[in-house]
Amino acid sequence: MTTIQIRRISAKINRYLSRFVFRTHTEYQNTRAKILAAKDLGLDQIECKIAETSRGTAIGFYSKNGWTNFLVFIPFAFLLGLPLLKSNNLLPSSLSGENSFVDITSLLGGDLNLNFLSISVLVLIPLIFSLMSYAMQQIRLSFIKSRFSFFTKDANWNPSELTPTMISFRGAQTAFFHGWLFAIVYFSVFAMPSYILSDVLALYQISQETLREGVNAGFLIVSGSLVGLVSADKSNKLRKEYSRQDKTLRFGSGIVLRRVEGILYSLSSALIAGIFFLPFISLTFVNSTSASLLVFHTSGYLIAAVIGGYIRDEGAISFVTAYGSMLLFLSLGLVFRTGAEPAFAFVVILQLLLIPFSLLLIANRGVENKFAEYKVKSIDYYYQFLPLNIFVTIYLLLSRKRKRQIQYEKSLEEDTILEDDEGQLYIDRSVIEGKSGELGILIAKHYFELMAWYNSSFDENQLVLIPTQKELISYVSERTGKQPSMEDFEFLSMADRLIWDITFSPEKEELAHTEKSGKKLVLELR
Amino acid sequence: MRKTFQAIFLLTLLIASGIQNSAALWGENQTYIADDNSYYKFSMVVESPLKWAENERSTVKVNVTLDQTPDNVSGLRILYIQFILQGNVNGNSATPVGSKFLTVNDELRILDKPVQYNTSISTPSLVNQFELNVTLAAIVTGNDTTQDISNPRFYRYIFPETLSKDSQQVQVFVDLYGFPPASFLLRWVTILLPITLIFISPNLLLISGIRKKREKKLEENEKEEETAGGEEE
Repeated sequence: MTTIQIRRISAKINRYLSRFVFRTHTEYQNTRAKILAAKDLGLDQIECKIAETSRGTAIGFYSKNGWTNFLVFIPFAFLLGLPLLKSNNLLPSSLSGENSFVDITSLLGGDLNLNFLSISVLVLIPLIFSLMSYAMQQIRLSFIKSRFSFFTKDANWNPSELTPTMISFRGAQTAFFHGWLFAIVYFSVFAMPSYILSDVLALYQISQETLREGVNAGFLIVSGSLVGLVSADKSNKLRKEYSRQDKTLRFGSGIVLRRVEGILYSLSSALIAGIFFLPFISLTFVNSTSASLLVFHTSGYLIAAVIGGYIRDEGAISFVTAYGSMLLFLSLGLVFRTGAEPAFAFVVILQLLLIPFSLLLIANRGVENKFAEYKVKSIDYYYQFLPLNIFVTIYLLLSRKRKRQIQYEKSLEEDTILEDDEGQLYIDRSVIEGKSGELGILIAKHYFELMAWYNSSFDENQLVLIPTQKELISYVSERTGKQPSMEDFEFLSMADRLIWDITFSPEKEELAHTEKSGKKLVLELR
Repeated sequence: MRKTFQAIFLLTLLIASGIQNSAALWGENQTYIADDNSYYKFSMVVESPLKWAENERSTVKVNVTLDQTPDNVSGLRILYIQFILQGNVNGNSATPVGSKFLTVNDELRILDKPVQYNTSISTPSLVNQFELNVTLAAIVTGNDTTQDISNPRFYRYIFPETLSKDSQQVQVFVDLYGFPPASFLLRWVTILLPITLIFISPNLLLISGIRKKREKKLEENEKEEETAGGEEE
């Protein structure tokens, strides 16, 4: 059985990590415990190992899954690898060439020419993204390592946080991939077989060059604002998540200054997204442009950032409204140029068809609520069109739940749960067994597990008296964040009477029901 | 205030409707001396619309008037008139973008009576603005002064105003040309669909999870009911 010392230190580390807005999961063994802390979703984790040694209790903090920071390279590897495969005739004809559904190389990378400049830029972009998230992970770990000793001494301490600029890079990363997706959708016509392209050219009565110029212009005008908006909003949301201690977010100096600060921060994060996005599209999709279009594109970042900063404290609905209306109004602006430039007619119709697509941006809200049930609150997957993290997290959550269940069921098989550290029994086992059989014993085990949890929430040298029902219930609801249910009360009163009331003899059905709810309560705590 | 708004509104309407001056314009009358001794003088004036309708032909009129001759016997023999439209193509301002060769072979003898030559020229497609350059080849005919017909003199008339193409596309504000072709849309939606599915996949995953849970619960309830019913019996 896990010692109270290990349990108490684990509880302390849990409390400590929760100050950094981490969500934890503890695995107990006899003389050691392992705490897994996840702040982002699933992939990015910190592991804390606690072990009893001959010289005392040892605590170690480790960073887990460092390699996952470099997953950003995968799409870029496709981007650089596909043209190489194509030039060596290694791509199947169903993926590239005239007979394919779409030419996958030009769908993903437009007119990308592999040369020293393009390769170095396309390696540099994911390298910066991944090094930034790796640095964030390591900085967070070193904070946690260095501050823990102060935390245990009850000294005044302030958990330092990541700088807002680093968080902006994370927001810019989402916006970058968002913009890439839009580029794919806009320029997909040039990846299609030539007879489809000639259909389009015939309908709009234009040459291919004019169509390309029109699509370039439309894309540059629209993408600037959308990338800016996504980057600004995501960075602001991540900052709220990461930097809960940030004074500007909590207090500020009045509503005006808070708004201005939000807008300035959004401007910086939108421009960071632009620094990544502009070289990327100029190497791939947009092959010719004019100075005036670049001005349009850049002012798109600025205008969208102002809007993104202004709606910082609003919900997802206002973000989607801003996003959709931006698409709509920019389309309206372009509609009045369609008379002069027929290519804009093509762009405008594509944009109008994309407006309902923006509603998808709030699709993840349901998932967020579901995660809240698992005590996971993260928005790292917001606005991402390929939310890989969410799959990993759902998998991890389910596997952890199963693991906890197995671990607890195993411990139930051992009799030691009713013993204290020295192997003495807390209660007379035969009395309970005589009154209510195996089910009664199980209920008692759940009850003492609950007591152990309650006990470990105190400091090492504190004396803990046996809690009342009310104290237990308030402890449970505080830890799980749920309102206590009728079943919880029933379980506690049943366990109380089983252990202390000699005359009490319950019915079998009632016992089975209570045992179930007791087990559920304990599993929720773990 | 209201009147100001009305005025601005009307002004905007005027600008938007793009009032166009389609009326033809006469250029300035120019006088030429046709021989070395200044016995022969004639004047030329060209009429052309300022805006040339796109994909159509516009009429250009040339009026030539004999002003002075040594005696009534001799006159001015006009051999041909060449009309050249010059536009700015790739930075080269005098590139010919259209031309017309009008063979006349006409002899003017009567003084002060203008003779008009009409021709229609199609609007150039390469440029939006162009110049009209009219060159007249003529010789004088008289006993002593008759010029060599195989080596005529050229008299150039540059139309003073720059002509512009009346592009119909400019007049139209909105032209959406209908929906993109179905062959394109089919592929476009097929590209969009997997992206959408991937994006909402976490929700689908959750929905299926919730459904399974419900089914499980229902099954359990049914089992419980069955066992309860069996006990009652």
